[in-house]
Amino acid sequence: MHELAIAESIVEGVTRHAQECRAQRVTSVRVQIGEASGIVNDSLAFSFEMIANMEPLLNGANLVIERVPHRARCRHCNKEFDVIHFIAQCPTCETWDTNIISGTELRILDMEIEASKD
Amino acid sequence: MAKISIVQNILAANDDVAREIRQTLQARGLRTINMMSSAGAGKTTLLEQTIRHLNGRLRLGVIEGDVETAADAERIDAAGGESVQIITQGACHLEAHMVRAALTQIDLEAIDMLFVENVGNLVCPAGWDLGEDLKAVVVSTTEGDDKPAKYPHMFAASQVMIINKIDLLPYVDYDLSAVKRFALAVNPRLRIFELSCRTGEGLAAWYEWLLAFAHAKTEVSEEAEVGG
Repeated sequence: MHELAIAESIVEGVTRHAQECRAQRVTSVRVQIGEASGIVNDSLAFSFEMIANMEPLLNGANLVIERVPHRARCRHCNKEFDVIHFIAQCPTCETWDTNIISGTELRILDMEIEASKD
Repeated sequence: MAKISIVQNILAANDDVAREIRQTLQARGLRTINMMSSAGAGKTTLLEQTIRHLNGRLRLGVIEGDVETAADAERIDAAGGESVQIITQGACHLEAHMVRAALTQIDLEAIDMLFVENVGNLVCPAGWDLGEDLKAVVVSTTEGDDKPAKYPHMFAASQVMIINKIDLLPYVDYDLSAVKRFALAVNPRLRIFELSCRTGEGLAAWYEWLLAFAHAKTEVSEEAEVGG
């Protein structure tokens, strides 16, 4: 539901960086989206395309989405495990005393640009 | 073609504003709760009751977020609170810049604590840091008992869960223990209040906790794990 707002933030962030390095055009943007962020890939791709096409620097840019698994680490036995349906219970010692180590990312990693001719 | 590394949070711009808000409020010793729920769970009613009950002991400010109308801010004012209405004109959640703008319209000297009442929605609001000290989610017995299982992000991101309308338990198919079990499964550190704004049952524990929280006698648990 909020993929549109996320796409807007990606386009704003990338546009600023592209202007800083005087890019002529951004051809590709790579982002990291955690499984626990609630963001749906297809909706984000659709929203990004729509918003990027309104921005001359990003018109036609490709969005590459890397999903990051939702993982946790047990504070007792240090085991790292997949968090399924947000339930972060250690499968070994069954404690709830665990830390989320990945899956909440919403991150712009990098972009590919065509540099300015001058 | 050149590859340029960026590596920044997608919501970095929002997070910057949230940090600024947090600093402003902390400098004044004002603790802040971001209150979220689906539409109709009873956020505004709970705030009205709280303002009336704590009259003279705790002066509450409320930033009201709604898609349309200033009706909720009017209710808060009528109860004796200080309020500012944000009308999002369609947006399904509040963002930090909206709260920053609203803060300029509220007399921070006239309040002891601040609530931000988010747009009624169990999905998007969880993802945006508004500079609050903690997030509280309100559910009610008329919504069905599957909410924590269906919207785990919200319950994982919150530190407090309030189950409202418990006076209706005899009339609705609502498995209270299942709700708590699911919510605690996604967030074992969640603090739970069960109450009814209509009968007053359970409100005493909420008031007691809120007073301690507002006076910074309650530890603020760790940052929300989702959406940051």
